[in-house]
Amino acid sequence: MSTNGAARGNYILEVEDLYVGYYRDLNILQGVHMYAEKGKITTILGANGVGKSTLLKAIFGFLRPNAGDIRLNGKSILDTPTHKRITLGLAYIPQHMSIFRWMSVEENILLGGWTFRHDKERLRRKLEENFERFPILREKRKQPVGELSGGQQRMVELARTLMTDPEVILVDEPTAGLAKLLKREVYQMLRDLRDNEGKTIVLVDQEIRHALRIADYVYILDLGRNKTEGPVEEIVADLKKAFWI
Amino acid sequence: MKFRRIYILWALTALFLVGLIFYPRLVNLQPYWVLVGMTALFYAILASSWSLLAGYTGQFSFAHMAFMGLGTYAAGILIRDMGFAPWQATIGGVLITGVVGLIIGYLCLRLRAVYLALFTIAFAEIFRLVVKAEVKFTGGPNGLELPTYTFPGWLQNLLRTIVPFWDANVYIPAYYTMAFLFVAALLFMFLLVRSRFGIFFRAVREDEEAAAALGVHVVNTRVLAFVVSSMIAGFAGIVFHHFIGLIVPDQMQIGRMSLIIAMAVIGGSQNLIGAALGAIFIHFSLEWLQQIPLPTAVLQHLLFLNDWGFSVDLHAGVLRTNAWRMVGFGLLLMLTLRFWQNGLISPIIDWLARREAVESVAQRFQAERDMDAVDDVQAIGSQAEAGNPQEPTS
Amino acid sequence: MWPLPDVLLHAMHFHMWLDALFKFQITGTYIVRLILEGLLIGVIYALMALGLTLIFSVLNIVSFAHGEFYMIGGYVVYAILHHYKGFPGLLAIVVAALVTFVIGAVFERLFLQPMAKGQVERPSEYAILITFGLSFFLQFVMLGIMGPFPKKAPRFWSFPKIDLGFIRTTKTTLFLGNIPLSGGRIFAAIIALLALAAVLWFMYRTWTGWALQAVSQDRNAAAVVGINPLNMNTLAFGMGAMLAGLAGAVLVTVFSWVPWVGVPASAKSFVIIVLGGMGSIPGSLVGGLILGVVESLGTGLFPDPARAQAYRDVFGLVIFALVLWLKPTGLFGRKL
Repeated sequence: MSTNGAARGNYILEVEDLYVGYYRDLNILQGVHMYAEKGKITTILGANGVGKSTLLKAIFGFLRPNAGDIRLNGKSILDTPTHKRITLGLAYIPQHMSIFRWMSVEENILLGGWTFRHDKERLRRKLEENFERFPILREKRKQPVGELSGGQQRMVELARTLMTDPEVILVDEPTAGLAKLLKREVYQMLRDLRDNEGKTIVLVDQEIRHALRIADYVYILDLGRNKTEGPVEEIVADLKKAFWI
Repeated sequence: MKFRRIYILWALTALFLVGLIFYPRLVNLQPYWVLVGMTALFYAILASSWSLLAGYTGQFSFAHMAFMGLGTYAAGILIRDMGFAPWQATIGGVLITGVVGLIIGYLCLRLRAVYLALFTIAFAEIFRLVVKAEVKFTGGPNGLELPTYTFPGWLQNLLRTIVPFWDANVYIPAYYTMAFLFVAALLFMFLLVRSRFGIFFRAVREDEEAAAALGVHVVNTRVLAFVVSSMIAGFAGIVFHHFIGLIVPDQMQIGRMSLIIAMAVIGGSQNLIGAALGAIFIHFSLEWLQQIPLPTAVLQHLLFLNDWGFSVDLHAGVLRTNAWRMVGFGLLLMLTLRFWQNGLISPIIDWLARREAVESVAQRFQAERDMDAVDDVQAIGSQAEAGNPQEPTS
Repeated sequence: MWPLPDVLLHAMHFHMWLDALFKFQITGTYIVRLILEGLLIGVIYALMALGLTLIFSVLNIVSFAHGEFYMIGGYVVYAILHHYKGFPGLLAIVVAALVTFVIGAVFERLFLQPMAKGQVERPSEYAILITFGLSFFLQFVMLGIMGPFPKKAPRFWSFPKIDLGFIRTTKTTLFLGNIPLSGGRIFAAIIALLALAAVLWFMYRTWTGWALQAVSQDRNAAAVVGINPLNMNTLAFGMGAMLAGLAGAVLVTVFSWVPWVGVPASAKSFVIIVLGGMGSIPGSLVGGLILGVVESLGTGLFPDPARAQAYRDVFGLVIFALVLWLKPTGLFGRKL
């Protein structure tokens, strides 16, 4: 699989030769690359602890890379502080539920529009859009989010993320800890985002079956390094090779 | 024989001990300076016992001075009302301090570190106010008088022969008693932190759950450190104030406590000796600064402060002068905390003793990597010896 | 029998208190008056504790310099009113609030931000010591500037003359029936109530307030939606300091002021936040009122009036100990 710049025009998010670690000299990611194509779902797979979540954290700026580059639309975003990255069209849904649990559903979703909080009209419109997308949230708009079920909390998170109309959404194990029925629903939501709204999604997951079903391009990491990658058909065709089972 | 840095440490220790013994001679037996030296040692004991708790278990007691006062008041009242001899009262006072420490310890140390800090600061202030108010019982703001210790005759004679200037002024016996207590307290705490308990203290500080999983009783360990540290404070307070002859409630005010903390932190609260030296250093520099007329009046005039407050009178002027010196130490305390968390003195000791200063996680990883590298080099070397005539590069 | 402290004796002879009740010294009116006085001062305690709660919930630290901001707030009002005769008192209070806000915010930037950025080892221990160091520093700075003698700001308000039968006022006192209430405290409580309302409105009705809440509930999620957590830290610490400063500013006309006046005040705030539950806004409000009433009743009913004032703070300490013993999470605590 070639990763040279032949088709670079289509790549909206590019991660090159990334070294990241929690301590200065202990890198969890050692020279990882990842290219996400516009309007596609790029899935990153791998066993526990190979650094998949670390990769997303680094892309969103919670960890500062020791070396390497991260580019969004061709421009390096390494020097953009974490809280500013959302204004670049990047959004992040962490693995652990990242909701404000003592605030109401409506406040949670509105906070997603923090960056354009002075634009009342746009806020109202986006809030309405979200309530249309997730009607159940409209019913519970005044309820503290902490009282909702896990799936609904994920919905709130997603709705909050969509407030800013991000181009690229980084999603970290969206179904961890959810019931089986809900899982399908969450993946359907992601698929809809790609198909109907043309979002670029980078999905990190353990649920290989589901993840492969909605993926367009797959990267497989092993102990902080790229192992295999390819369009989803190739990977599915030769799962054995991909996972070295 | 190869020169090692630790020899410097030994030499300095010897020098310090000699200095400790001959200090009254060095200041020509002037009562004032002997008293200053004795007070410095008193603060040194307090600072190092505070750092036993803070630097080794990571708990902060702001009631250290209050425990000092509690012990002293208890001893004084035992003597006054129950006819105890001073030495009996000393033991009684220390025990009472321990009991109160035990109660407060069990109350607060089950919880996060901040609860002990919160409770002790409230306890210290309120204890002081109550002591001040209970005039009939404690003497109120005028303080409580304590009798001086009388040494038994044979000891007195023995000391007179060893120290020819024993009777030169009243502070000399006091100074030597304090010096003895200082060495004994430091030795005791040093042995304590070198013992099993010292390891428990650190383990509980570094990772409470891991320590508990290994069978260390977290709460008991912390309470032990707290009680020991408070009892040493009480002991030092009782002995000191027996020689001074009076304890006043303002001895326990929070400003003094701050000073003890500044001493310990600036010296290095991770190191008992660093804290003690910090206390001695700061106490002497405060005394020394007092000799320099700080142009407070001019300063205040330049800053237009007199317009805002009131005209300077003598007493207030002195207090203000002291205040500005303390401001300097407050600033030094904050800067030390921010930039040299191990303090200013203890890194030197650690360097001389060739011990790593308390290392950060990153440093630890670095150290482990270095060890690995050494292993690699050795492995390469042994391979080279085995199969390859080539010399390994070192 | 060697003498017990009188407080123990009185505790043992509890019937003395009952005797006092029947000896007509303690009447229902007296108790009502004590409760009202307690509520008045409790509002100010609540204001101060709210500041500490704000700091704790956003930065997850306890500021041991809280009392010193209280002290500085008072001194600023005193200095302004002392220097410029006829300066509007309310404006002086606003200046005090601004000054304490700036001091708090600058301190946060210089000393607490490195901690939030992870540049400091053992952050929880560092936070305790550095804020304590700040309190040490500020106390002696103010001792250097203002000197050790007690100060009292001049009264800058007076009641309009009202006589509605039940409610009457003189220049400095308000009478509810035959219960006299000190006007200074009423004035202070009104300002404190306004400030409380303003803060609550700010926290629950403005975007910045939501952002503060968001940071306190999930720092990373706040950064994900684009809130800068470091700025919110500064804002929260500055506001916390400001609330303490406000409490001091309204009380400086009531109590006399010395550089260490903040120490018992911060001890009270600590009692309140532990009683109400660390990080709980309703907890700090209710806790403040409870502490005010308990102190007032305890002091007012204390058998020996000469020493009653000294024991005022002891009731707080007793509450503190009871809460730590029985329910360390406090009344409204949601996390320990």
